[in-house]
Amino acid sequence: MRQDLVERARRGDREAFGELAAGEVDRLNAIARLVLRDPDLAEDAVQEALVRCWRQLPKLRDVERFDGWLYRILIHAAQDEIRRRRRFQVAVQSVKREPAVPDRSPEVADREELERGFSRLSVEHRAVVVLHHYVGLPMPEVAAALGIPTGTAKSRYHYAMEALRSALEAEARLSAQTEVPA
Amino acid sequence: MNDRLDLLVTDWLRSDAPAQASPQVLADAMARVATAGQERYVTQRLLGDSIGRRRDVRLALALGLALIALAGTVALAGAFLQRPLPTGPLSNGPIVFRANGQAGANLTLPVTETRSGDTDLYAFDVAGGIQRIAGDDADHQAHACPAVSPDGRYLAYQELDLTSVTPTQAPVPEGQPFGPAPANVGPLRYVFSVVRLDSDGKPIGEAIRIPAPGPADSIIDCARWSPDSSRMAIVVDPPDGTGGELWVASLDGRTMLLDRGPSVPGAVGTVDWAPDGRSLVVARESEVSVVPADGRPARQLQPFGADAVAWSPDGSRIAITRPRLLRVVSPDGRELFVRSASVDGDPTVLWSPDSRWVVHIRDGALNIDPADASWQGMIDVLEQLYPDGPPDDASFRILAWSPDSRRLLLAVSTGLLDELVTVGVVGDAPLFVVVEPTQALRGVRAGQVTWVGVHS
Repeated sequence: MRQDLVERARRGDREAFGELAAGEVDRLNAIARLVLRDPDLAEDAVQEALVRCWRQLPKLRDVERFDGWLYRILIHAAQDEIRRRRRFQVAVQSVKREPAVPDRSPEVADREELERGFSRLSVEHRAVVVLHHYVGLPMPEVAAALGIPTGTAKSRYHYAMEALRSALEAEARLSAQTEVPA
Repeated sequence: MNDRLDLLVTDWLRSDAPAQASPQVLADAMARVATAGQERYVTQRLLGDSIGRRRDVRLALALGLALIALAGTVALAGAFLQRPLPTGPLSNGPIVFRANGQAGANLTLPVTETRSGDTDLYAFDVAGGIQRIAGDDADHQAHACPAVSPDGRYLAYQELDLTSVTPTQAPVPEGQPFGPAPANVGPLRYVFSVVRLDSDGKPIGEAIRIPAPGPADSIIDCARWSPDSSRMAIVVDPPDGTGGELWVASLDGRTMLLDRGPSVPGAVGTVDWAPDGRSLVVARESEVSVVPADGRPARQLQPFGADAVAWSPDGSRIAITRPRLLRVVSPDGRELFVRSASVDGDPTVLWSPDSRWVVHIRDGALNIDPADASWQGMIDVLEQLYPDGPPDDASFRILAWSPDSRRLLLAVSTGLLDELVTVGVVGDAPLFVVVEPTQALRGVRAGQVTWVGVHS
């Protein structure tokens, strides 16, 4: 059924593409939000990805590879959104004040540190983590979806996970130092 | 630690992912898909799907085309190098520039007169001087929609045609403070008054009066001057709900109906002239069209509606806004780039007079995009004006670019009060932005404001 939709959309059937897009948009939005960490940027990226998908569908050789192909389009659209914003953000980036004494449970603290560590990663590194951990793709498929060699995907994955681990360990050290003995 | 980290990351991503996308994302994407063609291999178009997709066939055709292109390039290069740059006017609509190339410094706007209770037109200079251009203390006539011609020689404004109104004396029944509601006042008609301005921007002589076209009791939009300052485009919304009419009026009073169709309810900025004055781009409820100014049939630019349109002063791009979407297209309808726009609020989109930047409001912030879409700028105007947090009812609107493209005029509203502020552009790109309240104009209610240039 879905392959049939892809095939019809590939041949220029807008109605079929509409059905196909309606079935994909939530998943694409979730991935874009996770990678970009910004709902507005994510929506822009998803919209752009769907339009690019429509334009480039006739060039998709193997309909069975539609998912990976669509992920690649989405990640490229996300990278473009970041690139467009980057130059301006340097000029007017505001400084967020963090509370001096955090009052957080360990789970919340972990998540905040993951968030912080993840935000420091490039979109390319975040994409590998999201496709592997959230979408559940094995590493060769992650590499295929991003159009990079498997070795590069693995290397990016290890770098990203190492950065997240460091962020968590730094948080653990900080907690140990600020703990007041009973 | 590895397993724990894997689990932690998976769990965090799954709980952090939104379940659903906004329905508008799909709607906007499909609206764009409706106008977007599909990319196909040239060979696929020529030879069909199976043969045309083969790599060797594509390579052979590419080689052939490359040879032809090489031969043609030499001949074409000479022609292109000699092609003159577009010489359209530096301004459009209400923005004017000095003939000597300097930026206009004055603004004109309608202000409600406390004595007569109507709105009169005033000219303000940024240093604080004010001068009434139209109206007096007792005329009880509202003057609205000031629009200065691009050459700075004329100011057009709208007023009610009082000659069409028959006042009735309503007797007050004894014991009641008010009489019956006035009736049979006759159909309401508007007139556009056009006054000549001297080289200092002061009005000279009697105004030319051009009756607003269309049936009586219509809603009349502000006039949009043609780039050569000889004609005005006027959008008329007749009371019978048949849809907006686009008229063009010349200074000798002749009017011509160009186009008719369902208009965008309550929208402003739905019409803009091409810089060569030969056509206009018109936003309607369900389409955007390019309408020739000589009465020839309109050409559809996109099959879905818009709230505002703006033709870049160099003629190369048209910006179109609809809820949540800013599209920039070429005059033949090809999409150049797209941005998310404001969900609600001011749909205004404005090109700088030098065509380098286009501005619109998105999610309460001012967005600046260069014409080549190479990056995006966003300025939180309210945050800069109110460092301790803006009042709950604070908002702002885009009014006009200054003629030299260095300042953008905004109206910041808090409750019933407007404050005019300028956003300054420093350097070649607006990497550093200064927001400065225009002290002389504090407290002025700014409905329609334009820069007044001074011609030599």
